[in-house]
Amino acid sequence: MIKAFHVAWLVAIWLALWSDVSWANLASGVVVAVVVALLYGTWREGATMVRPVKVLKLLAVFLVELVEASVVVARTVISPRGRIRSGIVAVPLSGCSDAVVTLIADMISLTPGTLTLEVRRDPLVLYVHVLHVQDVEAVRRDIHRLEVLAVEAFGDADALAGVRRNDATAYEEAR
Amino acid sequence: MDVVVGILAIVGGALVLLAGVGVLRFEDLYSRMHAATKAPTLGALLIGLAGVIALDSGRPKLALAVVIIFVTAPVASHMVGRAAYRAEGIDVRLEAGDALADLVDGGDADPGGPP
Amino acid sequence: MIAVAMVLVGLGSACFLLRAVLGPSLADRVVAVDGFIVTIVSLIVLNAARTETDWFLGVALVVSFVGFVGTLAGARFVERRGG
Repeated sequence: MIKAFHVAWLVAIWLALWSDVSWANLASGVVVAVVVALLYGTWREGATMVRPVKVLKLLAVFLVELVEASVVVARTVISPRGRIRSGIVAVPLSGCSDAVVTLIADMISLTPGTLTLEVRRDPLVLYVHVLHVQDVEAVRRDIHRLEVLAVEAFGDADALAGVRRNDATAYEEAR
Repeated sequence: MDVVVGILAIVGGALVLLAGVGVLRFEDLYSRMHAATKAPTLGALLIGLAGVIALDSGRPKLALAVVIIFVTAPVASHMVGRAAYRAEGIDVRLEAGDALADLVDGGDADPGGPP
Repeated sequence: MIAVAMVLVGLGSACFLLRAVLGPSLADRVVAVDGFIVTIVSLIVLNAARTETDWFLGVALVVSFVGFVGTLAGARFVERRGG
């Protein structure tokens, strides 16, 4: 199933590169995309589903955070401030597929004040560099909120159960 | 429409400029990475939006270039951040705790293959 | 108005270049050059919007790809050889 999404995405890129949506381009695009997808099928197994409503919710939250991130950077640049206390925080996540972990790590890098530095599987822990560390647990809660949104949008049933079981309080917050 | 394009372009440009100033002002490698990843990416997004509205042809290529930047910026910063942590001769200021210290310096000499 | 935006982006790219020259470590330079690539793409897009021509956009696409790969290569180099 995820291979179908990969092929569709690659075909879209192929069509965009040629700037011309014709049957010839579509056919050649599908051929190229299938070849590439077969050669590079390296992502670990972990079914990925798509729940459209949750995806939209994720997108909305993400866009807001993205804008806020740039505002925070702008503010920090303009106003002269004292020493910023930064640090690296370890954030454990509940298990989900490679694709979802990548999505979460990318979102963390684009949200205010956080930057993903390292990802370890077994156990699944993200190491995040934070610009202003006031409260380590608050950072973990924010990231957990992102994780819940992402898994609800894209995770499979196992990941969903894991996320809901592991931290009931944060889940209630995210609703 | 021209006004919308102009506003998007100026806000995007201001973001890129702020990112540049931030990269100059911040004293620490990781803080500079914060400025250099988030602000230019959003700036490029806004400028790309302005371009998509203003142009009649060539929109797919434009959208693709912006999407590429959007998708690759966090990955690039992640790789540089990883490398900078393990490399010698780079000083990062981490006053508020360093959770990576045990894992990286403690015997994990292999930086690992590409993701 | 787009000309104003281009001036802003141009100043920003000068800042990135300055950091690339100054930045005490190699990693600083890699980060600065990656930001510079994004400003180049922005300038190309703004110019295309201003003059209503689109044949330079292919360059923007290639530049963003190459910039990404170059940043990754720089990162691997920093990891092996130090700052």
